[in-house]
Amino acid sequence: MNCRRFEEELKKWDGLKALDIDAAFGEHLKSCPACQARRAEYGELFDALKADQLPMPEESYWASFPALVRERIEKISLRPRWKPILGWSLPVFAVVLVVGIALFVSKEKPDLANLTAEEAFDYNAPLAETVADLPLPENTVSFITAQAEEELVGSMKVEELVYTLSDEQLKTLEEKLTPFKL
Amino acid sequence: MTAGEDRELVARFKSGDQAAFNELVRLYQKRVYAVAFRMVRDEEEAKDLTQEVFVKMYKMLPDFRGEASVFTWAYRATVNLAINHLRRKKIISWVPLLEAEEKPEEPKEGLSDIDTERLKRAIADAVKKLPPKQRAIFILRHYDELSNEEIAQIVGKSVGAVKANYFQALQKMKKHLAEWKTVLTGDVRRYELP
Repeated sequence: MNCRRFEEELKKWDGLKALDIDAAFGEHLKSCPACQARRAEYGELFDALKADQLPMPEESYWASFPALVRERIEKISLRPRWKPILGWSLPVFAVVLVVGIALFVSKEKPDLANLTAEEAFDYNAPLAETVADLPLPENTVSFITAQAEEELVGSMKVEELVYTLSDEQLKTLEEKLTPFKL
Repeated sequence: MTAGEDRELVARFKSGDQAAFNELVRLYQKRVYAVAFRMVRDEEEAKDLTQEVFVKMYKMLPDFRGEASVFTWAYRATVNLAINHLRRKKIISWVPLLEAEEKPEEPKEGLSDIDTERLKRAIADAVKKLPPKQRAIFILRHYDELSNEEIAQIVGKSVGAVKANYFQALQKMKKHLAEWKTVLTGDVRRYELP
């Protein structure tokens, strides 16, 4: 069961239909159990893919579709065409900063065994009254993120910012995030 | 629709006939949606991307020189927009603090065959696991039955690379569905126990 011919033929013809009409391979298939088994496996896959039917919107949607496109075009042409100074660098910077802070805060764990006396006893800090008052890493992270978002991008969420980036800007952002194993 | 008819519609649009653009939209709207849906696997996102493709087309048409057909252009725009959309979603989902809202999966009504529904989900999962360009090649080849040459033009790769990617996609899909089948068989056996 180690015949490689099926895969080689499939690569060559790129489809089961073509395989079936290739007479030379058809002859081989009749006498090769390995290729028959592979043919059956791929056949199952192709049968399974038939179950993947498209959820097509109703005809009424398509009838109004050109009007929806027109509406969108008009909205875009009405939008002011100004771009802020530094263009897209602000959203990119904001996203990178938020990610950076998130990674920094989530990765930096205090070395409790080697704390100095000053670090261990911050006499100026108010005493925590409940567990919720404790500066848990996740609370700190959410707080800093909220601050960063507020200060850098006002009310605009980073999710929305990502959608304002052009293809080129998206590529730059991806490159910047690569060190963080995106 | 032939390339000649496409060109005629483009020429009419360029000379100021706005109705010609609507005709182009009607001509390609379902095909564009089909590719968009199979790329992103979400109806609303696919509808949005489909609109976006035609907005781009509207902007592009005045400079369209007809080097490629409108049909090739529409496919290319859909694939590129879908890939960028997937990249954006990846960034958003990756940023640990932003907790992108996950849409709960709506229960589908009127499905009597649970296995078919499971199979559909398994296929959707398998497609989602393909890298974006490979996904595009698989969709254009398998569902749209475009030729390798047409796909090569759309995704900007050589015919050889298209063939190799399609074959790899098939193998990955086969592996994923085989795993799904094992799980399903295991489930069935478990339910059959007294």
